[in-house]
Amino acid sequence: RCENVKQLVSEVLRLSMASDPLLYLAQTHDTVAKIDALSDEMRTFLRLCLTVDSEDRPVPRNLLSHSLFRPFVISASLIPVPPHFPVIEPSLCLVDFAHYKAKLGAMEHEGDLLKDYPLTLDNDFLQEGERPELRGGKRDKLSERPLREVYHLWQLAGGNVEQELKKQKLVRIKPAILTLPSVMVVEGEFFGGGLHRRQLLESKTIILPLHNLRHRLAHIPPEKYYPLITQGECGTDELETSQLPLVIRERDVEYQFHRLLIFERLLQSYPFKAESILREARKDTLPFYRALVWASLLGVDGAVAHTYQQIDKETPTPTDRQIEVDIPRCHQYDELLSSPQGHVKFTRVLKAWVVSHPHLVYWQGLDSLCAPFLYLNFNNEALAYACLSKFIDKYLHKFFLRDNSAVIQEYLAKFSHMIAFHDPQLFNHLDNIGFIPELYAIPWFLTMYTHVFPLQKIFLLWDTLLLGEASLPLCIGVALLQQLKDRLLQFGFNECILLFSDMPDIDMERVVRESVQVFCSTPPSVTYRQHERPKPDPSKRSSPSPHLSQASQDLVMDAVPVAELKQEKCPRACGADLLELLAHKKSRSGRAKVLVVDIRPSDEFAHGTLADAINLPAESSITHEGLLVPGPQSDVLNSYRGKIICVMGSRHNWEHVIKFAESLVAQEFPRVCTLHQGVEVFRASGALVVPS
Amino acid sequence: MAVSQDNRWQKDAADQNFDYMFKLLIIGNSSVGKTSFLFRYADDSFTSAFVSTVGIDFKVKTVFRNDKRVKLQIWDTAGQERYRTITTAYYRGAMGFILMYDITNEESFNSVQDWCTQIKTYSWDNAQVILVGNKCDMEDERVISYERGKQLADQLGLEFYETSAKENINVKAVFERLVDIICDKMSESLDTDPNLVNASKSTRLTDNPQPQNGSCQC
Repeated sequence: RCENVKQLVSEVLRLSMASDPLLYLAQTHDTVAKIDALSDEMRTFLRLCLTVDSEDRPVPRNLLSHSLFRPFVISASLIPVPPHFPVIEPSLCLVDFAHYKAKLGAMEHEGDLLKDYPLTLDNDFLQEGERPELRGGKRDKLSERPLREVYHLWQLAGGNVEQELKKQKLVRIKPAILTLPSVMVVEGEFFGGGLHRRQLLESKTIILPLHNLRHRLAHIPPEKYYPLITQGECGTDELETSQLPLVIRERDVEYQFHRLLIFERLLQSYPFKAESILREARKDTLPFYRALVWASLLGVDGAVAHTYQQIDKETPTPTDRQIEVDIPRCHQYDELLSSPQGHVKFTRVLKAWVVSHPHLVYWQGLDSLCAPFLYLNFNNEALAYACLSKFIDKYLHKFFLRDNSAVIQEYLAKFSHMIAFHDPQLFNHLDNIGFIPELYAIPWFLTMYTHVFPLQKIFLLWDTLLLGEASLPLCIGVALLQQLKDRLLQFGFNECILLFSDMPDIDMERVVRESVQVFCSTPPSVTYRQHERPKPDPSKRSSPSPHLSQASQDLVMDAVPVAELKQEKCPRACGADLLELLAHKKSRSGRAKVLVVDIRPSDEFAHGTLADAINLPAESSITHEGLLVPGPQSDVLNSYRGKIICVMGSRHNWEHVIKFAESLVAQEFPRVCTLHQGVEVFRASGALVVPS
Repeated sequence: MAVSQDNRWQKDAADQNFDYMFKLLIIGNSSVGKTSFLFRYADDSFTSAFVSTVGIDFKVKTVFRNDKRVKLQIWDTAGQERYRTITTAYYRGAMGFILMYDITNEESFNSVQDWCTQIKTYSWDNAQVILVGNKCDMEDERVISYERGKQLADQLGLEFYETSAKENINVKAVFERLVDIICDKMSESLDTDPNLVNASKSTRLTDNPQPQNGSCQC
């Protein structure tokens, strides 16, 4: 072992002493011929990467400007390579992906150039080459960071521009006694005095002291400034802070610093690192890079700026008046969005969306939906527009059709099912007083809550919303209702509508947490919607043979007419979900995740049913009062209270299934669902067994 | 179901102490000031920074009229024309409508006729309607004269007011008048057709709490 270390050290020393490390490496690895075969350009590049002295070694950002990368850059001006404080350019992160791929493809054809392409060399070398004695080296690592980042961190570390200006006597405040009015008339008007600040332009430059921030970051070793994103390990997990609540994490300089570095590097590598961005965003989204993280989560790519530029945002359209009257009523408590510039930008982005989506139309509420994107991308309308378009396509697919009633009706019916599924007590109460989702939930879903909550809460909510499936908003709705449950249960119809017309203060972090729980405990088919965006399903395309998939075809969820959906109180689950739940073997308590209640007559049950199903024939198991007839099977059912209960019957006696499920909901059994298309769906797949 | 509902309404009535409950709707084009009007009446407040209404919004206010406590459940609707398919579903069971236009906006005035047709189509025959020209404080920008408004109201057989939610002109008067004519209509029906007593009572007891029956054809 000792030998090994000695050998390693001498190896490293020899490498660092070599006049040409590249040649040295080639010689010691027997690849001289290979290296020689590379182009001159590539060799120069490799040499640059292998510069021994870290002081002279270019950082990745500088390397990007190497002529080697020229083919990948759409426009050289997009790459920010000033020596210090480059500001990350959003359009850089969102380079034309299609263009890039085309280039990459072309290179593959040109030969094996790509095979030996040392994409990771840069990182590997940094790791090994960073010598301990260079820690806290002479060069100021902080000054390599973009200015906006440094300023952000500086503020987190307690920096305050106004304080500094006061200190420098550039802002002066009169003593309070001098601000008293000189004359005051009986009507209450007063003259003289008042807070008076000097308004003259001062051309003096002051330097904001960085020592506080430097001090806070002093113990961070230099290699942390170059996080290794290719190895999947992004390194904030080891910080104790990562376990603390979000509010604390968002204010912690060191934690934010690490997150900044990681996100910046990942964003620079977007879209190749889209997966990693998603993974990191699951931990938390960095407020500083929220705009770009959201854009990448939404899968924005392509020539964003170019596309936006091509759209005619000036020609008058019939929608203009509506946009014009809505914008001055949209999130106007915010200074940016209420500014004249804000209104102009707002109009342009909305008009661009309307013009570029001719099959969709402007519905009131689209303004609210646009607000968070515009706020985050205030100086990048194109990205705001691109995010809005992607967002609507994913979460509000078809909602903005001219005739969207079928879409909204289905959504609300599903929401009603979700309430019954997760909180039958609340569902029964609301159903009883006629407080239906149609009365309060349209703005929730049509605007994805942006019409209901202020922007700061929306950011928190959407940070999670954007990570999830298109069904997550339904879960958020359930979590919201549950948070207000105590009040709602006490209230009659009038109080309920009043409560929602003036939304009370909501603990958004709790909503987020609970909505994820709701999501995880909901079988996917429960939230199936006919009008949702079809999922890109590669398996479907690869197996076109219909006879092969007949069995599985029966097991999937398909469209149910809205009228039927609204008749039913419980959601339907599909056969595939049920089999999957059954396959999850029993937990420690000895209970499966799901109980299948077969409500067919006992002779049909005896002919074949699902394993572990219990038989409670519809005719004889429910009393006139809608209660369960006591018996051993009912006891089993009662003992499963809280687990998923799937009512299974025949599709030919569907009304029995509905009635049985409804009586369970009336008795406040949570998580009751019915089996879509009845027990017949299992015929082809052979899942039915004779009960023992 | 019926049993539980009766209980609830007894409870509600006991809690709230009201003799009648009227469901009223405010309708009209976008940004004519429906929400402002409602806020002025229910909360006596005005701000020019209201948010647009998506779908539906509500206020509840109890007033005294002829020694009766009348609870007004006022539904404020989205004005954009597209929303009509959604909002007309809420017309059911409404006893009174405030049909609003903006005196500084010709288009909103021109739509009055349409809105009137909507009411006729989707609400019950006895629903009372008042035509309101809002924003009468903005005299400089006026494009619809009082006479034009009055003329149209006469033509449609509606009562007419010009109001200002901002300056609090005639807001209360409109609601009071609407309550009065609904009360008149009720007693009139009482005199002529005893069956309607039950109708109006049942309106109070069941139509309001059960909007789901009618709200879903859209």
